[in-house]
Amino acid sequence: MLKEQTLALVEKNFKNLNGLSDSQFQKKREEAKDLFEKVELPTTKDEEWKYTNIKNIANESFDFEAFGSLKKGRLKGHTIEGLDAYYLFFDNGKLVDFAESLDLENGLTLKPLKDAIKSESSLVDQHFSSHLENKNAFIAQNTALASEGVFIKIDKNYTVKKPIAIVNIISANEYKPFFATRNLIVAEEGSSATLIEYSIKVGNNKSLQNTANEIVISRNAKFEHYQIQINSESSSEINTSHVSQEGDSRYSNYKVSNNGWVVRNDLDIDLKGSNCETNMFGIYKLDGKSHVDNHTSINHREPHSISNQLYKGVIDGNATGVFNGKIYVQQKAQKTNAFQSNNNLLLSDNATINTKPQLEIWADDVKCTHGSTTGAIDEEALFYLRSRGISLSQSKKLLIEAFGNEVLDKIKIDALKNWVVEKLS
Amino acid sequence: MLSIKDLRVNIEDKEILKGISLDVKPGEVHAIMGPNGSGKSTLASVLAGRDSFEVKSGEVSFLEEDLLEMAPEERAQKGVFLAFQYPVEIPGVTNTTFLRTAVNEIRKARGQEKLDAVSFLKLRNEKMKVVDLDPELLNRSLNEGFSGGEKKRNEIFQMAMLEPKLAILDETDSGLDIDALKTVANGVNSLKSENNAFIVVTHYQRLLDYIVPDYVHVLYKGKIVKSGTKELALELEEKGYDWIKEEVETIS
Ligand SMILES: Nc1ncnc2c1ncn2[C@@H]1O[C@H](COP(=O)(O)OP(=O)(O)OP(=O)(O)O)[C@@H](O)[C@H]1O
Ligand SMILES: [Mg+2]
Repeated sequence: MLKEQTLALVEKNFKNLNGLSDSQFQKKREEAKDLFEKVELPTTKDEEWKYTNIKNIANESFDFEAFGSLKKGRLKGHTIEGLDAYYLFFDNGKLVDFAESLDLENGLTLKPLKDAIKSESSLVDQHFSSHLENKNAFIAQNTALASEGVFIKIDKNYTVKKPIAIVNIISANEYKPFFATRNLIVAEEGSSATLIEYSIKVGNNKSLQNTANEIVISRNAKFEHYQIQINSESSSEINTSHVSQEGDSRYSNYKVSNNGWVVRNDLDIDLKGSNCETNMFGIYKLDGKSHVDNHTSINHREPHSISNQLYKGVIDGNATGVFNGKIYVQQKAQKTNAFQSNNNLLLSDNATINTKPQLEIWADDVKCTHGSTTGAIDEEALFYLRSRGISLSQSKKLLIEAFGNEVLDKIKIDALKNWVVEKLS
Repeated sequence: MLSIKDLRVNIEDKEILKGISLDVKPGEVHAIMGPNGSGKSTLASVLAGRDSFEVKSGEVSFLEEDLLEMAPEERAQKGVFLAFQYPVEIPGVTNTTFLRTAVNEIRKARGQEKLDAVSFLKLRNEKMKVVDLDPELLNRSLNEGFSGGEKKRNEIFQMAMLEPKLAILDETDSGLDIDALKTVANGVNSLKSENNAFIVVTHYQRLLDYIVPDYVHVLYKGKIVKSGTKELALELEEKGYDWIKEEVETIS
């Protein structure tokens, strides 16, 4: 289903090329389309998809290009209270109400990818699909369909004053929407910016979004990236972020996942230069039949970089979490510091976590630590709190919050943190 | 206030408490002494409601109600407090958040209004002085990385905040330096009234110089084998437990 519908839409898009036919961008899309036609969607026989079965979403018939149910006047209602940002709203994958709402700073370029293909053609041709490989059918699908999404460029040595917020509004009352969006982000040397992505689902029909970010961080640039996934049991999502970091740069990713029918996240970070810093903080809070799979990889190619990863899961009901964290340290990458920790709290007998750290280290002078824990709520701690008059449910709540706070406290923007805490509780 | 009748308790099929009876009236201080492993902490935990123990038989009533029927939080809400021998470290929950939650949950259960932020801080600062608690400890995670003495002091601080009717202190003196011992004992004495009672578990007569007991009981192999007044503690300090063990063995 997904396959045929995708190919039909790709054909349609390729008919309206308006002078793009010779561009590098179009060549990349065609390559991706050919690949997508050939390869199968991943199955659980594929090592990378062992615990995440996408059969049900592949067999579902979704509505493609299900635009137009979003009322213009309602957009403000989807902002985060107290968060002043450049908001970009997507209606089932289509950027809406763009130019009217934004009054941009001089050092920031923010435009629909569709427009950037022409106006920023050299940067788009240089970077689009040249960092993020089409390593599975979903990424090939995303590349082949690339059209909706944003292009962000931060000029050399410029610090963007407000966060950029990409809001995916999923309208699933009349439709069963499918959409793909592709963002291309170029942070030039010495620049600094914050990107917040979040989704809001309206309606209870099934939905699938395939979103991908290709992020290029130049020398000495700083980039903060929040990805907040508040899902219901009817939402599925394939999210891929590829980050390539040049020397002396810093990238921090904050990933919050709350429920979801099938959610698969890939965060791949390529440390191309020396002296980089990377942070990956994640929390997944799952209940019901939710399934959330976080795959991350970080590739240390050059010396003296630090990567730091903390992922924590709170899993209840019949939900399943998957964590797979790869760390590669190449032979040249001496003096690498790489830390990884994955801790899980299982709140029910039917909650499941599949956790797998994977370290491949070819350099000898490195510091790498990794650890993973899985357990239930500490009975001793629970008794201690109850013995002070705190009810069982309140005691549990305190302990669960305490567990998650280690990650949530990393969120640097108060308004965003408050919003996330409220959504998770 | 508290009446324990022939209490028998097992842990995993092993009988730990073998028929304990004890009556505590308002205004009284009872000391419980006895060799390691005799069941003192087990008794304290059963009274506080730890459910890893199996009560085989016996009755415990507290203020005319069946204590054994109550959940741990209900017991605390009704006025039972246990100062743990080994207070639990809880990372991520600050001491203050914990205390505010506890105070307000107890108030709620008693049909009282929640304390607002200002009144809570006022109460907290007042009670902190009672045990001379380092204010820095309030913003740290509950007991996490606290020294042995700081943990014990924090237990007494919690007791001061919650104002229980029956406080059970399980070896609160061990790990305290001489000055801290005096401070903690003074704290306890300042909370003492005609309406509340204390059960003090200790190995050392020293504490009982400061917190003077009305009764001293010796727990040995799960039974109270001897009861007396404060002079019994002095005698134990001098002679150890051997003579009591011998008495028990000859009788049985
Ligand atoms: N969870 C448990 N599982 C098995 N045995 C236990 C458990 N808890 C306590 N016991 C046993 O019960 C007995 C009584 O222990 P308890 O802690 O009550 O002694 P105590 O009198 O407080 O000793 P101490 O003076 O050393 O604190 C001991 O033999 C101990 O090993
Ligand atoms: Mg003990």
